[in-house]
Amino acid sequence: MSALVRLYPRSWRARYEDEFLGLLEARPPTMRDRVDIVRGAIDARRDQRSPNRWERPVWAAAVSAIAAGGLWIAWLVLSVQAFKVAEADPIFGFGRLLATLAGLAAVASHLSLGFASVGRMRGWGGYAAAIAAVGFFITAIGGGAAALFALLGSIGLATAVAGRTVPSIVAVLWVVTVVGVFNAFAALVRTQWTDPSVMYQAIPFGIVWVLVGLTIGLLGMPSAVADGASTGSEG
Amino acid sequence: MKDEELDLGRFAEPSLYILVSLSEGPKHGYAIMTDVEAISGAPMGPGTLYGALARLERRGLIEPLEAVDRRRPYRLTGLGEATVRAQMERLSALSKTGLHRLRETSS
Repeated sequence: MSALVRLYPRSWRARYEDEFLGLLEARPPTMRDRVDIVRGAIDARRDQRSPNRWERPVWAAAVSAIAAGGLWIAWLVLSVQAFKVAEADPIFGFGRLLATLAGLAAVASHLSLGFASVGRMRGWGGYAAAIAAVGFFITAIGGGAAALFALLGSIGLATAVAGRTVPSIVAVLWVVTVVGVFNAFAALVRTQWTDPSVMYQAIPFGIVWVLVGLTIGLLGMPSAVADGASTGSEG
Repeated sequence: MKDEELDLGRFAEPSLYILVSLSEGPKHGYAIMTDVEAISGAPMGPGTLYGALARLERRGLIEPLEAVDRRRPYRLTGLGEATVRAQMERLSALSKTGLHRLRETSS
């Protein structure tokens, strides 16, 4: 029976395991109960706000945000390199592989941040993350024009996250660096796609994502967001 | 009292049963389960029970008492009592309206 209880998050077990096992001893679980326990464990893991908010693990959100920032930067660097290599071998070469990997990295970065924040955004931020991920995936498999579509989703995700999962100063930095992303794309168009290195202007956007992860890891989620009782909302 | 205060997803209905059960006094998990089963006529699984208890505790609607022999009783807080009272009044009004309209339809 304790094997089933181990499906629950560590913070949940620290708070409820003893009495939960006591309950299961008093009333041996039926097969239906066992299914219910597994379902409860899944719910507990999906619930970003763990039973004890003061023990709530924030590492998942922090690590995913840091990963998102790193992958965003990796996507930019790989994309620029892909541009350069693709000129020599536009179809089957290393550049194409780099472009695909870069696009997939962008998909992963948006999904990771989306999953980290979706429970606190009441829907639309999660949709924006999904739009960005789909756009970047289409870009990765060759639909370059989808990058603009993906960027719109990325901006939507950034806006949804801003001020809700990070301190306001980080949110302001976020918005500023979003402008940098647009500038980078505009510069790329102005150079008629001949100087992809202008895309490096979008790197601060990734740096801010890393900063978001660090602030979540060091400070935790803002209490007004994490405390459902004080906001009257449930993510 | 806002309706969204019991906006607990799939735990909303179990939570309401738990609040009603605790409205007669503190109970531990097993006692809540058996009481809810008597009230609702359907068993409540342990995963559902503790999923709902965790959410109710986090919202400040219930609070844990000292555990005795791996049994930890829970009781309603002031907010929990006000919430269950408001929910019961809302359901009572809904019930009266529904029954009244059914009588009008059948007459």
